[in-house]
Amino acid sequence: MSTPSSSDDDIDVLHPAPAPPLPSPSTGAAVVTKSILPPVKSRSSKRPLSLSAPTGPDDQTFTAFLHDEVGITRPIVVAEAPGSWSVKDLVWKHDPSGRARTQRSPLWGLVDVYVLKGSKDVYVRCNVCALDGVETFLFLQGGQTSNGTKHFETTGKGKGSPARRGDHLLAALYLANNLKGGPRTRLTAADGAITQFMRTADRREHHVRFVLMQIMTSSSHAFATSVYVRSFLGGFRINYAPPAFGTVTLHLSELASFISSILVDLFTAAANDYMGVPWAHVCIDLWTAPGSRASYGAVILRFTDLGTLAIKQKSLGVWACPRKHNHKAIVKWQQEVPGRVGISEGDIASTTTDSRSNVRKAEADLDAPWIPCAAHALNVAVRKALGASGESANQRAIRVAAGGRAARRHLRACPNSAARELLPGFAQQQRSSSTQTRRRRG
Amino acid sequence: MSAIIVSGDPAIRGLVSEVATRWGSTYLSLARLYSMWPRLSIFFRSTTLTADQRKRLVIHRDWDKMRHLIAILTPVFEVTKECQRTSATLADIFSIVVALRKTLLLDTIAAPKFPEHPLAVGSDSIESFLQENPDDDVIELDNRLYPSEAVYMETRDGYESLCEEAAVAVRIMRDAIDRLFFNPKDNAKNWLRNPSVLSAVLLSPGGGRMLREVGDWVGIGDPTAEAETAVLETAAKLQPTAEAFGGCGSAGPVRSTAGISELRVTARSSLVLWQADVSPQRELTLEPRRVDRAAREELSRFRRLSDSAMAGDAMEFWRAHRAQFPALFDVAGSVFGAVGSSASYEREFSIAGRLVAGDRSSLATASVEMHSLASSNADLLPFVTAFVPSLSHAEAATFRETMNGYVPSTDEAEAGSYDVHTDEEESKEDEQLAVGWEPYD
Repeated sequence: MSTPSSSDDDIDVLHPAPAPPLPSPSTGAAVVTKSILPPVKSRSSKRPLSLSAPTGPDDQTFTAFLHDEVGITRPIVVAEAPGSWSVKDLVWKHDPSGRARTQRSPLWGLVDVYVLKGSKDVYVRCNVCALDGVETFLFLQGGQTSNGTKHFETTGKGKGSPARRGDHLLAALYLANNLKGGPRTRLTAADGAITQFMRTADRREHHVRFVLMQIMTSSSHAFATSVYVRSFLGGFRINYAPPAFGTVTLHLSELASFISSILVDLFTAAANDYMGVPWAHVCIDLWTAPGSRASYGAVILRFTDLGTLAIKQKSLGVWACPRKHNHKAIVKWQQEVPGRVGISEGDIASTTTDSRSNVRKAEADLDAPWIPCAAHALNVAVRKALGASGESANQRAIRVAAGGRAARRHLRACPNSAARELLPGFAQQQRSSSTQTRRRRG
Repeated sequence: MSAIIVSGDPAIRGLVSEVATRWGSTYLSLARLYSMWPRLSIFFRSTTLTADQRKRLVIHRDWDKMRHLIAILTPVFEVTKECQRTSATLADIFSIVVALRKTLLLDTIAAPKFPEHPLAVGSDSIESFLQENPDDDVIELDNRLYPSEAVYMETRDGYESLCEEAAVAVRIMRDAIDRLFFNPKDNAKNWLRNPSVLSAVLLSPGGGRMLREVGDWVGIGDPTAEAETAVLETAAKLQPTAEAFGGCGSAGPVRSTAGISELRVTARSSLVLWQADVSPQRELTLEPRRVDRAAREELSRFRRLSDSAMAGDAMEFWRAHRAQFPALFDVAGSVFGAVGSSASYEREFSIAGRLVAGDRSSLATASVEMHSLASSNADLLPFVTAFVPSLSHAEAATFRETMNGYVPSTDEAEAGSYDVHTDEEESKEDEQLAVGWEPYD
């Protein structure tokens, strides 16, 4: 008691019994191992994680309970609980049987319960504060124990007398080691390590963010289950495991459903602004995934926002388009997909695609004007020009054959078939350059 | 080669090769090769080259061909790049395609001179060089400035002209651009017959004049009448409510101006005229005939204004003149949204391609759909993920079913099990339509 800074020593002075130093008040009780617990004789009779084991001082006096179970070994005097507690003209009555009613939480062993008729809320008086002559009443809404747990932790880290802080820390440790029911924020592992415990309600937010990260990195589910990721998360001493496959699918659906609802709102607002004028310009194309038979089509939607006259482009992602990619299938697919985000056929002002025959034939069947993609067309023009494709296939074959082995050798070098025929020297150089690049990197 | 030090151009860069699926990669790889000339020439002067390396020497004739090819590919690359801009309107693309056609039809084209050390490297030094020497013939390649010269497209005695390969390529390119953009025999491949293009160009400042001139130049005739029809057809779909018209543009303030007689308000704006005609007992929707008349009137006013206006940013023009053309404004907003290049979906397929990689090819279709929707629109998601509404498993399943609800028609279903026909097959089926066209990606 002589120096306020050395609270641990003060307790030792009061209790010469062998007791290891308590955790520093500043570190809190978040990560405390059992090795620093004071010796507790009756510990063997307890099963800390058992939900059925009796808790609290029912079978013993409160003093003995504090000494044996909580570990407060200094000489103490237990003050009598007052019969009632008044708040805002309401009188809460002491209920000696309150603890027996909810045996599952160990908190009830450390407090006296005050109830009000017709209310599920309770007030509790902290019996550990009472040891120092301090009357502390805590409001537990609906009888939830979280405020009580918080009281022991914060008082332990707070500005009270060293003895009071020490007592509360011991009580907080007792609560953390005896988790039974009620909302939890800590988890005691088999080795006695106490870690943050994540409630189900909190976990969802992290799961959704995890799924979003998986989306942005295009990572597979194997990523979530990999040992490395688990140990990475374990390093934070937070009891969080990445979501299981079913949960991933659920949250992915939630994200997609949320986005599609936003898009529907956005497009509905645009349709209202345009007052009947077709406003949506779509870009579509079909694509078969490499290495699989799955086939998709992409839909991009562009429109001018009438308020700001700024062009907005929204991608609707890729959508499955199974079966043949013939014009009938494309027409049906194109009529159906924009409808999923609330765009009717009358809203579509134009369609832009490349000029492949199947797509062009499909667009001829649709009402909206078709715009051939300018970039694709230019690409075709350049490729034809570089390939000098004015000559027939036969003439070209003759020209390549006439070049002898040297001419044919370049055919392997350049991925652009048109360019490599025209530019033997260039193709040769490309090979040289790639060799050089490899050499330099090597 | 990285050990070779070139004075004035210290950046260490490798050669780049073409990518078959990347637009303009031939040009980019040629430009890089050209700008690497100092380093390559030092490299090939080395006495320690192996026979294999020596065989790959770029000879003088090749450099000449290369610079001519760069000359003819530069304008095309510029246009391709401009087309892919997210905010490029059809009118923008039309004008640069016309510019490309004009460039290719000129007698001469600007080609980089035989490779040498660059005049300036990096944007700052290029800027300052141009400020100091504004009259020099220069060309910027690969972030470096080189001297350029005018080269004749056709062989002409006593003048520099394009090498044979480049000259042939120019001729083919001219034909191809005429065939793909100004094809008189096929309206689908004629931008001067495409209603979307015509409307967009007509509604740009100075666009009417351009349409007339380009129509004459290409030899198709004046497409203005068609353009006007296209605009009016779109305007005819407008179903404005009197209420909506009263609340948009400057019509509101004009109406609410106190102390001005009703007649003067009417005189000031044709818009108020229509509103004044709407009796409160009638439907709030204006008659189509009136809208049509108003649109015609606005269009002729717009054309007078547009013909005298300088060509400029169409969006800026319409922002400034919104109040003058309330009916045409919606039409303009609609036509400027049209997309001239489909680069966006190619990007989408890149994202999807990374997702459905070889080791994940059995990913469920619904997952791919949801994944690509979320990744393309991640900007719409709230920062705090707890705000994303939660669904029950049943609701999520229903959502997935609605999303993946595409059912092929029955005749296709009967056709067999999940056959994906490639585009080549399709092309053969539709050979008549596909004349001159090939699948190219």
